[in-house]
Amino acid sequence: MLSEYLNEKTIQTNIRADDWRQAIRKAGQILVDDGSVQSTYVDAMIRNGEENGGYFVLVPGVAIPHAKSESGVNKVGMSLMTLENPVNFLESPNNPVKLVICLAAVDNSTHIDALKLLAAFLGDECRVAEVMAAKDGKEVIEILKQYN
Amino acid sequence: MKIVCVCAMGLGSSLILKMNVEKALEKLDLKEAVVEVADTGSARGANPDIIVSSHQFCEELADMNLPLIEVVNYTDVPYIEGELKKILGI
Repeated sequence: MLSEYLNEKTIQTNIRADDWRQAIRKAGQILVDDGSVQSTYVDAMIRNGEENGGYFVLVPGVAIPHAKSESGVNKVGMSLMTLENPVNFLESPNNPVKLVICLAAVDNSTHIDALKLLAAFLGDECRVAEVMAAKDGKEVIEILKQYN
Repeated sequence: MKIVCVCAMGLGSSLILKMNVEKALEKLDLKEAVVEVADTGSARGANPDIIVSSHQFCEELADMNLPLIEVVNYTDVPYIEGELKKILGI
């Protein structure tokens, strides 16, 4: 159930970010606030970008920041944030980014079912575009209801 | 045949990629292929026949002299199918 992780507590829309680091900080803070991760994990997600480039922008306009579980994950979590203005994430052929979905995993299997649903969502350009254009969290939750 | 999806961590993007590679294999009816995930460190030891990853990791692993499928959009299954067809000559 995607709504187990992506719900009113973990979705924010039309947030302003001046650059990719700020975008990850803000989306990552959602996971800190809901107890899924420690702030060190947010630093690690940013470091991942600095060290490995923008590979985690997986489909046009969507960044999936994440880092190793040992960097401060308490439990599996996801946060979703749409950006008021598109932001370029390092060098990525899928720039600019309008939708940031932070992932916190504890290993490479516990979150598999949620990840499958997330992958299905990412594969649907129309749903992705709808989420990017959503006015508020309620709209996003409505769109994501089919992924359960 | 072993296909290894590579990313920096081995638990996020490579898993999503693995799911879509498996979809492509299903469409091509390639039942004997196995798909694994790895980070760039363990990719070498995994003995892949084919590597699937994004540009920078493909570059990093180019010296392995293996068929590489470089993806831009991780969910573009038709693209992955097409590349597999080219590599396998089917």
